[in-house]
Amino acid sequence: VTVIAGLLAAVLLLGACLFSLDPLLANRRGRLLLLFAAVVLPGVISFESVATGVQRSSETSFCVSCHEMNDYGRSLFVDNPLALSAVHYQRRLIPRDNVCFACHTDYALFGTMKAKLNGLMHVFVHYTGGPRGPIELYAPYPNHNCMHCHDDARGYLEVPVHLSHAAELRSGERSCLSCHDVAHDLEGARAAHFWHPEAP
Amino acid sequence: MSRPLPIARVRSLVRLALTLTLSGLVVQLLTALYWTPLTFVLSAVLGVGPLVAGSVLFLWTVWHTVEHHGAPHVLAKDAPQPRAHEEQS
Repeated sequence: VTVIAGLLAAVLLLGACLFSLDPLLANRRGRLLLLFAAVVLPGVISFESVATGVQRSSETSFCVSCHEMNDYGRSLFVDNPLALSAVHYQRRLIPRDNVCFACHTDYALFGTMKAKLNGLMHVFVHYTGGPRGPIELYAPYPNHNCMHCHDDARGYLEVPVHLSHAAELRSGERSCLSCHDVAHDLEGARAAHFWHPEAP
Repeated sequence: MSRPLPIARVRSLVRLALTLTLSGLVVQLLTALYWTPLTFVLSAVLGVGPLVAGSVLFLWTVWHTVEHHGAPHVLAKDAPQPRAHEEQS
């Protein structure tokens, strides 16, 4: 709402300036107003608008708004204690508003930028006929995305097998998914086998 | 160094810059009213693009006016333009 109000104010101010350009150019205050209306205000409002858009594009509702992601979105509600996405969502291990982004972005310097560029490509694919073939990750899921949260978590450290394989897990030689092999329970989602308090 | 533009041309460039900026703002406003992945991309491309172009053109025009014609008040319709007359003579 703030962004819309700001954009509306900027449009009205700039429109008024355009219609009364000559009187504005004739005096100093008018020229300062013109500078404000033509450069400063549009710049600030546009930056805010794009920033809000980028932030909203990290939200779960954004990701599941494309029908290709329907089953993946529904898999968050599946009653399956082994399905990683469902467990993380239902036990609130990650923020519910950003579940997709929390797991599917690399936690590195350019991780967010890379995720946004991939997302831009996904939007393009969605509006140009949809994906050809099954949806897959671009690369094997990296362990450091799991370790970003679990590395020093008590629940992780208290599992003996995690400690015995610590070096392999850190180096990425052994994937976390080699044991936790159900990321999204798509079968359960299609069968509508949901955890009822949070069913869609 | 660029050639000095006639004041009438500069004034029309200012008008063009404001129109570009305004069109970018209008696109952003319309897309913000119905927010979807597509309208966000459209807003970022068709909204921000003309807006940046308009702002840059505006600033360039002001800079050009100050450099070649003195203070920007010469852009006013009835303002005396001594330096422009000097260049012509």
